[in-house]
Amino acid sequence: MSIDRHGKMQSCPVAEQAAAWVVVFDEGDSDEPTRREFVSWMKQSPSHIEEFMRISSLHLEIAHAQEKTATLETLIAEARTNVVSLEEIVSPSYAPSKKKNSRWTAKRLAGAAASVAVTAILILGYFLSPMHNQVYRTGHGEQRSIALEDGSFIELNTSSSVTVYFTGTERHAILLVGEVLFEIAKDPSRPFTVDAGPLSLEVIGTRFNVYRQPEQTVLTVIEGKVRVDPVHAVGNIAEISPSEKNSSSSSSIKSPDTRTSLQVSASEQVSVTVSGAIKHERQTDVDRATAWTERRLVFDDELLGAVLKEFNRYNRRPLILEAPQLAERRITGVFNTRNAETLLDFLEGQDGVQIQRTSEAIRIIAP
Amino acid sequence: MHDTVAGWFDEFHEDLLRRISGLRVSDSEVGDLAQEVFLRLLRVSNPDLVRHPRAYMLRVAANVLQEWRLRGDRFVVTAPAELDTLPSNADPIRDIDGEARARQLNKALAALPPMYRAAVALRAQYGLTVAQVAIHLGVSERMVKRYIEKGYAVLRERLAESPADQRS
Repeated sequence: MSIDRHGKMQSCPVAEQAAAWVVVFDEGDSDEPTRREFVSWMKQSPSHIEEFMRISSLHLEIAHAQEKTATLETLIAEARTNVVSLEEIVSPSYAPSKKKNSRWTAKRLAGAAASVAVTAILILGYFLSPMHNQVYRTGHGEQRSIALEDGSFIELNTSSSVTVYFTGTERHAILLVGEVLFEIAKDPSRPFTVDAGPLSLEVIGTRFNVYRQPEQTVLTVIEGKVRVDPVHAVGNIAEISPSEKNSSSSSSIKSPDTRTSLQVSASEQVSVTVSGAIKHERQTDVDRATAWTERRLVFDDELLGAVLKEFNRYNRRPLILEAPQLAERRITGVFNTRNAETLLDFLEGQDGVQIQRTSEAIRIIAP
Repeated sequence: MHDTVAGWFDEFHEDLLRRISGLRVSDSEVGDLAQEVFLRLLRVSNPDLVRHPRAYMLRVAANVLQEWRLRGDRFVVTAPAELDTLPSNADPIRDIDGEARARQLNKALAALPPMYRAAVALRAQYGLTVAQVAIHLGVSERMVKRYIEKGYAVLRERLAESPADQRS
């Protein structure tokens, strides 16, 4: 990489064109004129083909990197606070213009003035942008309730981040990570849409809870109706009615044709995994899904591992299970998110189980 | 039908690109490969009518690789790999130098200005659409595309310059 005196990064134009094509194909299906244009671009030179191959493969490498570059939060925060500092970055690598002497010529001054102007426009543009968006986030163990300008309320559970923006015609939220309870004010002229990874939904006005985890997003509707558009749906929809809960083998499977959108009513739950598998549960315990808003944790015959994981969402000192004989243990009960003592007391009462408390963690061990 | 074909192409596309970027095809060979694909594209009467031009191009590239391998005048050192069997993504040979490559890639990404890095990573690693990236970064979609294009072009240059890229 090289960055010239005016802060512009320099790169090969063919590589940039190739990258533009990679972006086009990555965004989805292309129309015919676009495809024709791509072919004619490829036919211009072998170097175009070479760059396209290299950048496609670079794109894949980044997409499949074992470790992500940084968390979403960090990436966004750094980018947004550094809009201006693009100009300040200097690379030690070569830059043809650097070799010249450093007298301030009129031309260079004009360039500097122009770059200041560009920066000013960038900043102005950012603040004047008609899309007024706001990012709300919570830390570990933190919960937050926010009144939005349209009269809606959102409540963020622990370690969550959501971006909300309004325009004259739409209301939109992107749940990046975590869990949010939406209480959307009715406005038929401006539907409210939420993107949460593999699941997207649209409502006019209603109450629902969305929990986005790394592997799946779960929607629980509390009031009204929600229209779900699974983003990457690939499989069939597993329909689970109350009577056949816990016996997935008997659940009916909808054909893929009906998956385009899904109506979800009160007390129903839909989960969509990142691989696109959809589960639609007809009867779910709404109170359980929203218990977190009252700092309660409700467990109904839940594996101990899952229970501990749930507690760990709210507490800095993690509960760690090191007693394998308890792994299959199932827990039923109501707890306070911040108080695992009742659970720990119960576990300690079991044969051959000890609780070891250190400042870093609480270990459940079998001595 | 369409989905299946596109899906197959995607998988194939990855497989081929892994070979190109991996050990199986050396850096100088990528140039040769591109040259050969170019010549073949010129010979085809109506390539603009192809439904999946990217996949088509890669298919041509795969054929070229296959022919080279059959002729035996390249890939002398590499183990025989079946291009058409589409093995899983796991590739032990690639994994050995994969770590060094990943470190180098991370370093290059970290050196990008934050806007560029965020645009590239949000799109490629977190799967946000260009429109969503634009919302999060507070810039227009056009700017997001520019950041990604420029970001990739710069990364490409960076990685080519880097000495760690040379493979034994």
